[in-house]
Amino acid sequence: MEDSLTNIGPLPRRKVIFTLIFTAVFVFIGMSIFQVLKVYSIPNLDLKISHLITDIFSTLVAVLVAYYFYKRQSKITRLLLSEIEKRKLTEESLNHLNYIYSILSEINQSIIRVNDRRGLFDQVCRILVNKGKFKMAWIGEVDYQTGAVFPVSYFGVVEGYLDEIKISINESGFKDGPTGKAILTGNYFICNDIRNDLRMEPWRDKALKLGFRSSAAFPIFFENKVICSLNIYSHEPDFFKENEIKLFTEISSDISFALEAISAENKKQQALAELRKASIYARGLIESSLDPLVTISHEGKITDVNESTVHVTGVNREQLIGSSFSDYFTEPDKANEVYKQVLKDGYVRDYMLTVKNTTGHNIDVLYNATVFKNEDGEIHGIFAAARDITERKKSEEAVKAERKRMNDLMEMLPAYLILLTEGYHVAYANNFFEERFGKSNSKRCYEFLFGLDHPCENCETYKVFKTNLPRNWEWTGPDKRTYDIHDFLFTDADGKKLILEMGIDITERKKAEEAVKNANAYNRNLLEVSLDPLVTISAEGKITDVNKATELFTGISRAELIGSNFSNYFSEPDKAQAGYQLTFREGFVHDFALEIRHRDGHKTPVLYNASVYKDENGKASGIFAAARNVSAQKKAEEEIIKLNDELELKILQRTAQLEAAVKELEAFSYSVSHDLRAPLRALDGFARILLEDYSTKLDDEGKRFLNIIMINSKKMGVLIDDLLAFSRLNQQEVNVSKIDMGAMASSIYNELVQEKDKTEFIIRDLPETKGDTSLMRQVWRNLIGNALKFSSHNEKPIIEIGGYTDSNECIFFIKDNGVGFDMKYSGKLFGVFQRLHKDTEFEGTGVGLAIVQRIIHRHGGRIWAEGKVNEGAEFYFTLPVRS
Amino acid sequence: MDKTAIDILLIEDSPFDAELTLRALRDIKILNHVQVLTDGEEAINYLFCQGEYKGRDLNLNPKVIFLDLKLPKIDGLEVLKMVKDDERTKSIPIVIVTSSKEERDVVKSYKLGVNSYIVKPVDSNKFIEAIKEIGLYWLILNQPPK
Repeated sequence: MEDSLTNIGPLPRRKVIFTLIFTAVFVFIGMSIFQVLKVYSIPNLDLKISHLITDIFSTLVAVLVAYYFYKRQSKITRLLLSEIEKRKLTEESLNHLNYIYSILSEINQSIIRVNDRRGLFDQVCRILVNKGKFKMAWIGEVDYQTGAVFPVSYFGVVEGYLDEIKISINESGFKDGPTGKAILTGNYFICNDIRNDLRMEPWRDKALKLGFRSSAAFPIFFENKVICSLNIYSHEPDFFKENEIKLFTEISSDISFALEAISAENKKQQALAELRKASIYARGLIESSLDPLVTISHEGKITDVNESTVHVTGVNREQLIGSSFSDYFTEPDKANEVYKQVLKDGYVRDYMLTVKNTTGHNIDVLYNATVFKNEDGEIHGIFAAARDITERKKSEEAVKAERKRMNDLMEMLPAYLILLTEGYHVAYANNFFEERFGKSNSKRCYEFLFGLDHPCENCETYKVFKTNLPRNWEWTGPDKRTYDIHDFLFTDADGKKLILEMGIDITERKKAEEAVKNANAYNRNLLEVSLDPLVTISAEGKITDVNKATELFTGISRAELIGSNFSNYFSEPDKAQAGYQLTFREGFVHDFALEIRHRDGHKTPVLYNASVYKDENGKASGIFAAARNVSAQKKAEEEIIKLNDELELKILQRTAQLEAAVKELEAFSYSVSHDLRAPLRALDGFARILLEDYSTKLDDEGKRFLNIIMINSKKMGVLIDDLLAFSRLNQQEVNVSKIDMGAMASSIYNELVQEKDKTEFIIRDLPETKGDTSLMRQVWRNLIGNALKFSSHNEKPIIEIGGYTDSNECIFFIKDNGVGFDMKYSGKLFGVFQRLHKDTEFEGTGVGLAIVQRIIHRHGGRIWAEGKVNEGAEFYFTLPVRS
Repeated sequence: MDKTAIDILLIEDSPFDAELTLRALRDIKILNHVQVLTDGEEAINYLFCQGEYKGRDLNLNPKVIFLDLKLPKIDGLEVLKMVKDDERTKSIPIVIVTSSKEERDVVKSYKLGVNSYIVKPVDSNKFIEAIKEIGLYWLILNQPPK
């Protein structure tokens, strides 16, 4: 902090005087006023005057004192002033210094703040001109190659100078100026009088024109070399004195220092940048590594991970860092072992672990881990790198599996596989071989197979070495089984020549072949002993094979038959051809009739059964035809036909006879009905005439006789009718149709019943049946008629009709409460003309029931009756249920 | 020979049946013009004016013929056929009066062109009534061709 004096500016003299005087006058006036007042206030004049004198006196004294002090003061003032003057001068020089130092300080501030060279230079020039009030300041860099010095930074009045001048360190005239000199020598150079200094010659005029009176050039060092100079121009001549020089020296050295600092800073930054680049590069490598990398602390906590670790665990970075390393393995204890071992040994190599992934897909890895130390050699942590070996494991497994498969194959092979060396040793034998023949135990093949002490004579296997060609032959082994042997030349992995032998057990196959051969022979035998001619025919109709029977039937030898046309040997060759064509089309024929023609002409009727046989591809390759000699059958057939014809004839004859008989019967019936009736009419008629015309001439007895005649003739007529009906029954056909029995019975009853008849007629539901309508009507007519007749004597005649179905028949009944009959005579009921009652009781011919029975029997039914004398009768009949 | 037209020509071989017939016709008072022939041949001769009836006038045909089927010599159906076949006699109404109920007789008769077929009842009373009815019908009610 500065002196308080220097703080206040130089006191002007006048000011001091004025202040003193004013103070005195003020005091004077003040006092005067006071006095006046005081006097005025004193009423007494005397006092007033005394006071007044006192006042004037005191005032005078005051003035004197004031004057004394004033004088002193002015002396002091004069001293002060000269002091001030001195101080001012000092101040001025201090100010000047201040001013210089402020420049320095500002420049230094710039140095601190600005960190590039150019910026610094610019700032310096600017500060020097603005703050330092120099006319111009510039910094020029020297190019040692060319020797030219060119301005890098400048500020101030540059136009007309800097852009026009040339400064160099080489060229004479130009190198002797302050700048050149400063650069060359490394010392500052001052030119305090530009006007008169010879050295400024090249630039004097321009400089003076711009008002430059003094200039200075200070070298700026960098790395112990002058690289530029700071040049300053002042409008004051003789400006650069000791202090200034000091200042600028300071400035230039500060600038040098700044340059160094900047350079160092740059270097540092560069180094830092390099370092950062290297760091990023290194990090990049770590992150891009496919192997999960971790660093682990002493306590086993993860301190850093790369992307692969994140990926392989499925856990994010933030969670990983700080957590326990062993948490992420399927066997945490084993994981812990890793870093313990690392800490102990300093490293661990190819340590197998399984990483637990959050998705569940665990990954097998191998860990390489080492400790890493800090600069002091202390263990900082563990760096662990994992290699994913799942793929490797997979391929290892695959290889293992492959190998196992090959092995299994060899072992499971249902054939033996051996490798034989030139020295007759068994280099390799599969399971099959060992099972069959045992282990070779390094013995030679002829030793352990056959117990020989020398190779087998004519060994088929070892011929391979001679011919260098594969061999295939059959061998019967010591186990008595037959093998199909295949031998090949085999070059081993190490180049040695071996024989690869494969042996397939064909014992069974051979047996089967033998069986087939036998079967074939047997089959052939059967074909040959067959009595039926057998042939095989090709698609073209040529015979391809025959048996003995064919030769016999045709009378032609086998050799001739084979290859000839099949149809040649038949009486109808076209038919034969048609036969085998049909077979080809349909696949078979059955009982195809042909006649084989023997060479000597005689024919044998045969029936052919033929079928197509196919080859492996399913294509028809021929027909197999077997003929059956049917000459005996044919004969029998002919017999039968003959017999049939005879029978037919007989039948016709018999039918004719029957028809004739029927006709006769009809004629008989006809004449019966005709011829027998006529006389009856005459009988009846003339008796009546007699009765009518001669009634007066006859007595009662006579009339009675005539009546008897008439009655009998009527009866005769009824008998004739009944008989006729009865006989006709047999000839009539039974035309079956559905009958509503109930309706039929009712209608018949209504036909027969008299108006005044008091019979109670009960008819129940009758089952529907099938039968001849007109015949059944006859049945009902007779039965109902009988019921009515035989109950006519009753007071309350009741007739009941009913029926039901039972298993396969319909049963009908009619009951009446009439006179009934004695069961003793039930056998006579249905006889022709048989009556159980006298004519006088009930009229009738005794044919009615016979007719009914005949009809029912013709329908295939049964009829029977039950009765009790005077208690009515029940008639039952059945009709079969027809489908 | 009778030269007048007869009403009924009765061809019947049974004298008893003939007598009953005539009796019946008498009862209805048309006995006058009845000619009785007793066999088929006679019937043909009469109708065709040949043989013993050669002189008869063919145009004087009976109003109706009662014809029995069972006739000696020429059968009733034969007579029927011959009469119905001939243009001259075709239109004479013929009533077969026979004791035959045979269906084939009936059918054949109608096929041959018979005008009516009556079965003689066995009961003489009924027989007489029937004849009366037939006579009345064919001679009174029925309109013969001229």
